[in-house]
Amino acid sequence: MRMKVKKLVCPQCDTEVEGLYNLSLLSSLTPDDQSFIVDFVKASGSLKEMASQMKLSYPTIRNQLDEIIERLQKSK
Amino acid sequence: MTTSELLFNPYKRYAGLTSLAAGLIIISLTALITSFGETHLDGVIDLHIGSGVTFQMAIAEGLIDFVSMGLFLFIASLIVSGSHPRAIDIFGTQALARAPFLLAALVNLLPKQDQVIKYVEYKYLHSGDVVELGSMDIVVFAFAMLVTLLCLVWMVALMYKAYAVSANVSGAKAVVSFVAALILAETVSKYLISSFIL
Repeated sequence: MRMKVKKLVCPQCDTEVEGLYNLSLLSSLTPDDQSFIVDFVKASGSLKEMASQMKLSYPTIRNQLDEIIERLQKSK
Repeated sequence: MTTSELLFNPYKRYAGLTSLAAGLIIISLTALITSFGETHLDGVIDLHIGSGVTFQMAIAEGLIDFVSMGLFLFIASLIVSGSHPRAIDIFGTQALARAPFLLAALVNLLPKQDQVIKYVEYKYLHSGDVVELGSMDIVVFAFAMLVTLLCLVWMVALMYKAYAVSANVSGAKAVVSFVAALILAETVSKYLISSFIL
């Protein structure tokens, strides 16, 4: 079961709102996976571009993406 | 990249066209050396001392071995992989996986390898001419056999890793499909080489 957020705080005016809020699906991923997704979006979804930037092979990058997709499907 | 990765999983960095180009260079160099060393690569995982090996014959053997393995692994990947394997990755990484046979071919350039075979044929099969061998010849032959065997194990390990990375498969599914593809590729390559090359 995924955690929920109970309190939201504004860092500027310290306003606090209490409730029960859903976390985004992406927040269930590890920081490394989240960083991968950000890089993927920055590379316009091009695995070839990502592989070139990260100096890794195309299948290595594609396999990482497949693993993240699998984790997202499990945490749904 | 660590030494261990370079030796057993270069595919983390190199796949596709890069590994295909490197692999084809390695296959060509291996063919050149086996034509000098009178060695046949007459099957995906075969290396036998022979005679009358020309460069054309050696390159044809190397290409048949590589294409057979790549083809059956690609078919296997289409059946068992839940991902989207690319033919260029399967063939490219399989070409690079043949690198250990370059070392095996070099070791088999050591002198009198064929003489030991002839000696065994004469002594135990009672065929051919009398061959005199020194103890050093036996030691050199044993060394070449050991290195060849290690290169074979290394090549199969590389072939498996190449398949696992390129097709994104693991566990029993990967092992069973790899072994099935290897058996089929070995059978087909041996048949093609014995029918059209030798």
